[in-house]
Amino acid sequence: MHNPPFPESAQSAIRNPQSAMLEVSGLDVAYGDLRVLWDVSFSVGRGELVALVGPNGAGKSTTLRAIFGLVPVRAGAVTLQGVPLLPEPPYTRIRHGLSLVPEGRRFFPQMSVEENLELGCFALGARDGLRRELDRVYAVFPPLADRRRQAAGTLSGGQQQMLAIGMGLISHPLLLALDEPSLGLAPMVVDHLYEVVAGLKREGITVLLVEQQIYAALDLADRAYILETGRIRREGPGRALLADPYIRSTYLGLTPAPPPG
Amino acid sequence: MSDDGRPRTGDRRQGGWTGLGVAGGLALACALLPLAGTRDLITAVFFTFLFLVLALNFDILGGFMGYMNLGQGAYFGLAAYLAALLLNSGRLNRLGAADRPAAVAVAVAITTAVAFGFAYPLFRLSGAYFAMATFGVVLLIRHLILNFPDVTGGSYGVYVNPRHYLGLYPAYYLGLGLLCASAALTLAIARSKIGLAFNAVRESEPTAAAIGIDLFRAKRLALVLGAAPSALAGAIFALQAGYIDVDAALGVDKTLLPVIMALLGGSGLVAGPLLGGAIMRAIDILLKNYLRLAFPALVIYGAILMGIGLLMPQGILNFFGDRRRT
Amino acid sequence: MQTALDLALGGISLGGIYALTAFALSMALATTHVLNVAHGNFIVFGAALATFLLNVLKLGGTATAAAVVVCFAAAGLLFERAFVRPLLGKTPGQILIGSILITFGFAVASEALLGYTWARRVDPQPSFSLTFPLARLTVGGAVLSGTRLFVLLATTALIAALHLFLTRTALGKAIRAMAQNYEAAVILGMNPRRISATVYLIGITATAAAGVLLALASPLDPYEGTRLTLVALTVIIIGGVGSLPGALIGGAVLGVAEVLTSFYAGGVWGPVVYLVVFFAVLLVRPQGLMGGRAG
Repeated sequence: MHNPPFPESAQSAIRNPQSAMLEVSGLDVAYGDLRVLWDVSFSVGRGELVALVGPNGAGKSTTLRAIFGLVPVRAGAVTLQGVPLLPEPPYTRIRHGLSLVPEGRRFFPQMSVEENLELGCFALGARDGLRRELDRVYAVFPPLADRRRQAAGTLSGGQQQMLAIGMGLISHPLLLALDEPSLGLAPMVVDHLYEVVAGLKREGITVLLVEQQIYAALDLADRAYILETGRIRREGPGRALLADPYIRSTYLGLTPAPPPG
Repeated sequence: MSDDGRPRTGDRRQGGWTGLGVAGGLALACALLPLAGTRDLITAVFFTFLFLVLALNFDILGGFMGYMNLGQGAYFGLAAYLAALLLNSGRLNRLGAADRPAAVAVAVAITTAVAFGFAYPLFRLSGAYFAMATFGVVLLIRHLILNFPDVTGGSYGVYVNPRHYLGLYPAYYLGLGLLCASAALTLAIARSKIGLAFNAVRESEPTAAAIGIDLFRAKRLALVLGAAPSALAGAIFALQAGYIDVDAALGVDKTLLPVIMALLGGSGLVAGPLLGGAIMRAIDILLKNYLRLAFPALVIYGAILMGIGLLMPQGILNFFGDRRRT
Repeated sequence: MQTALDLALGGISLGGIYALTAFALSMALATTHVLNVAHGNFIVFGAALATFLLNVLKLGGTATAAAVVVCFAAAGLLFERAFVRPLLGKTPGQILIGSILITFGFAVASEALLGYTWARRVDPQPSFSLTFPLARLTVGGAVLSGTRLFVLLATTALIAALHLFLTRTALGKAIRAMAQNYEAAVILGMNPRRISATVYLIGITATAAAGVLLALASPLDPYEGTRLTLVALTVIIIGGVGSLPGALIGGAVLGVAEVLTSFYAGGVWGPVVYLVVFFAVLLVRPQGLMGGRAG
């Protein structure tokens, strides 16, 4: 299992062993006069893979960005292991154990793959063990090892996504948030991506997955929330939501599932 | 209110009857001033007219379109030099009494053409890069003037032949007329489709292009509309002053003060530069005549500009207007 | 042959100075999105302080150099804290207006103050100029300008130090990272305020140092600040934002162009050539000769 390397996150784990990993309550977000999120509340438990899904423009990315302090929040609270996050500036999230792989695979295009991964460890400070951490990520993503000196901007879309996830993982976060990782990737690459995400889940890493590809996300998720036009409409176990008739017809274009047996 | 504090197109309530009433009253007062004021006062107010024209012109490109022109003084200075040199060269003598208007017309025409030409390299840039590039225009003109001393008098400046002088009173009324025309022009732009197009460019260039606005032509038009009246102001200035040099015609105050005036009063509004201009000229007169400063006025002006940037970049009228609305 | 050597050395050494100051501006621009109009003023201030310490107070060379570094490191931190920090986190439109107003205002106010104070207290015709003790060197039969050689070596050392800092230290990599992708950097724990402060501390100090070196080559007056910012900007337009190789090439181009122009067309035309290059590059290839987009 993972030992969080930051004093802040380790201490809060000791203080609140039973609380959900991530608790979001009553999140209200607006861009100027444009209200985007209404009273959004959800939670992610330790070791769970929770999916936040919904149509384009529903506010999924905004929710993640709000958690990270990248957009101004009108009201609401976000706690990680009981520690309130919203008053803190965005660059401290990683020290609390929260890691984000943003939409569009953000990384540093003119730096090499290895430099990018090293920067994933920036907040860790101490440099011994860096080699070990890099090798760990290369073991999960062999194509990155082959291209470690290549400029990150020259990688293919799928490889860039691997790099971005590697950068998110290398700091041993308590919770990894993925913002639409399948965006812009070819279907075969998306399949491989989801194998990787499933692997993360098997290792016990807590994951918050925001996705537009609803089927794959619901299939993989322990629990999921449906976000529509800024509000949470449904929640439940992933498989159960897959069988939900409303979801099947609205998002999957399918007829209701046949009864078992 | 768009994100930089300037008025959005929908906020355009300018030119209402109260505004016109106040403006008309002020114009009348200014027209009557020479009957009662001292020569010094009249000169001071005359210069105020010129600075206000520069401020209004700055705000066409700066306020409506969001492109800050730190070289507004270039058009003023270039036209001043052109008018003076043309008259001194004697080429226009055969026009007799019409030589001064002709010189002014030619100076304005050439300056406007130069502005038109500079639009091509300048608008390859945007934002702060653009602002610095416009400053480069001033520097270029200064260098050219200084490097051809045989033609331009170099650092010694140019004396206008006394028979071409423009007397203080005619200059004063010309200045007042130019100011009214400039204000009318700016108001007309604000209320027309052109102004709408300018605002669209300021809000979002990709969107403006998508709805069919030719971005470059709009920008070039804004630049030219802001250059011509400034050029006219420069030509009038040269003929009234009788002597110009690079510091008088192209000094940093010809750029700095219009920027402060427009931004202090409220960028994007017609009344903004006028209000800011009045305040700044009052400060200027105060500093020059009543407070013995230990250091140059530019230090104060620079500090004022910094203050505006730090505290109230959208200007007085926008600041209070916003408060009133919310 | 002698003349060609002189010109080459003069052009390259001048180019090194331009490259150094352009890169400092470029880094600040890339990380904070603020174009410091007063950037060139710090070249003048560096020259002014060195002139004052060396020529007026008669301090030694090392003491002057140390004083310049300490002074401008502090100045860089103060400048960032007072004028750049308030803009961090605002929208691009607000940053644009705010930064131009604040830095342009600062440029005008500070140069007026410097010119006035110097004229009153030191010399009615303010001019900042330094002389290097080994002005002429004979190397293998050719006579070289010791001053230019020193300037070239000094700028090379400073640029190399800067390069090492940016590529070998954690903070340096963080600065590059933030210049390439602000949000990703923040997410990974890089503190934008700390990076902004570091960039200005190093950038302003390097710029002041460039000013000291420039004063060795030719006299400066108090009002050249904005012009020098524009020179730095020309280098950036040629070489691209945030690129050190680009700054080196752009600097070399401008330095050599200026020296050659002065030689063939007369000294008054040297200082104009950067403007011609500036507008020409804009017209022909606005994305810069190295592909970096400016503006």
